[in-house]
Amino acid sequence: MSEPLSELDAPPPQPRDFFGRLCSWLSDLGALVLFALMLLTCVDVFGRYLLNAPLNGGTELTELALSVIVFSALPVVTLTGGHVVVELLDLNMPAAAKVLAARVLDCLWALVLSGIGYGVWKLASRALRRREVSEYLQIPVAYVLYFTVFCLALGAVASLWRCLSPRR
Amino acid sequence: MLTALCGFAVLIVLILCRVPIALAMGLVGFFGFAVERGLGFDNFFDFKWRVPLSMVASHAVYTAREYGLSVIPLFILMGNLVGSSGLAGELYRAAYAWLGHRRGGLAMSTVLACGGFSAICGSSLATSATMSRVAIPPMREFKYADSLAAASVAAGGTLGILIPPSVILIIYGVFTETSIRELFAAGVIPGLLGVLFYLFAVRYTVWRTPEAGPPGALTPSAERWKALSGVLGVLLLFVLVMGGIYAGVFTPTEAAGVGAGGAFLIALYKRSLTPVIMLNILRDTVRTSAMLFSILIGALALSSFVTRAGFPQELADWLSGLGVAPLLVITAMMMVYVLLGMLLESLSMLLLTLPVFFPVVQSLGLDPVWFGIVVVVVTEISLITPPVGLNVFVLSATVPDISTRTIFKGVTPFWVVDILRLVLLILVPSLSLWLPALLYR
Repeated sequence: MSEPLSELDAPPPQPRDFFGRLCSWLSDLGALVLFALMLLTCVDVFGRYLLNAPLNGGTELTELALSVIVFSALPVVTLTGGHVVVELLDLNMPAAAKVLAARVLDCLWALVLSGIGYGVWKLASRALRRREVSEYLQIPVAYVLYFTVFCLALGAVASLWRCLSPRR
Repeated sequence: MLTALCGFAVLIVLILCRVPIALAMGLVGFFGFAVERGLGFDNFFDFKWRVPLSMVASHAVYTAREYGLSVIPLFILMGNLVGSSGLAGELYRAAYAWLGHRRGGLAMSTVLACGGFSAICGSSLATSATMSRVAIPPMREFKYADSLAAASVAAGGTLGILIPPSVILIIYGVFTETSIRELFAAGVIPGLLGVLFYLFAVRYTVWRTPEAGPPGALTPSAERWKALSGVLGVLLLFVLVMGGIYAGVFTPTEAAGVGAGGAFLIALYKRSLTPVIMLNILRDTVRTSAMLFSILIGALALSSFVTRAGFPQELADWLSGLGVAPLLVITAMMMVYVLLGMLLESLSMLLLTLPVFFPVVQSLGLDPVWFGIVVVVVTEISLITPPVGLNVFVLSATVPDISTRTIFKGVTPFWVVDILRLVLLILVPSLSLWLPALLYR
């Protein structure tokens, strides 16, 4: 019987160009936050049940971590074509048309990401104006939202960059 | 109602043109919502775009900050860690030790191991990708027909989304505000039923064509028990995670975090982790989560539009006006799912239909937990239904020399028992509802 290979012996695709690398680093930050979230949950649970010392604000940190995880990886997923696509119709398009379609898609992503980014930016400025903070730890909500805006903007710029750069 | 139907038509066209599903749903949701707010050709430039924009933005922000959803990356991480730690191989070895000497025994072992792996992994694709690497080589060694070997993995993998923990059940629960604990409890018996039915499908296949699944070597009984002890890690993890949720000690998020921590310790203990592998596992998990959340955000935007257009309400009113039996409505919905399943993968299908179907189900007075299980089973079937059986494609990607055609051929008996199971679950709701009732109600 053969030894099982790890499903992940091949690393996930890493884009090579400048913006691509930036997006990829950003998602590595998300990866570290995920690891921290795992540790945090374990510490929280064991602290509560075994040491009778609950971690205050664990829920809040979890929510913050989730935002960071999701949005930090969004640009690289978009750039490496990691989104779910239905490939039902076998489109027999000439190569040039395929390139054009890919460019249109990049453009669309740039538009959508910057649109959402703008919307979140509005939410962030409102949160800053109202000085919204989280309940226990008093973390300003606006910072997290601005981080989200940064991720979305980077994704948008990178998509636009890819749309304009030459490809095979 | 007309706007909503047009929206769905545009959506299907976009999806068929290979626009990513998340993007397609988001765009249709955004523009549909704008149309409902009075967007037309005449006021395109002086329309107040801020309203639909802030709708999508707040969905994005609040979805990514929803405590209940933080369970998703953690369960995916747990599944990936378990997948890399060789536990799948041990599960298979244990099942083989007990069943391998029978005719079709290796395929039956595959099904059992898939069932066991599903108990710690929440995703069908991960289950079939992991199991294919473990189970296909020995089946080839014993000269199993490729069709049976691949089909048992593809079908067995679908158990991953029903047997808890299950990412899809969590998303269903959060989306419809149904208790995740109850959903998890409800998935157990239908999941075990699935294992049983698949075993039956293997028996049927080798009964029809005995040379498809020759018996393997007999394992002496001392070794059988030894092999079984290798599964202890999986069992422990399952008891810790699910037991904790069922007993109400953990919230699902805490259970997922502790489960991922446990899987991390097991992987460390088995020395299967290097820092590079760990980083890749984390990277992969983060990206999968981002992908799932984009679909979720797109679906929420779409749902805002569909709800604002009043489509679900109109459909529910229309159906109650017809006075048809709920069973007929459910049957019609299942038809829609089987049709959509030819086009979409399970999560998109679920999120696309729920905003419309769920209010109807509620207005018919049907149990949301039961409906969740039924829907998950039917999306599970779509994973092995041509032409877009996703599990089949995963399999032909990991084992390139087996064609999708061969797999689809072998999967037919499994598909038939799946339909039988679906009918059974629809007709006998207590199969799903007995356990949650016993535990919580």
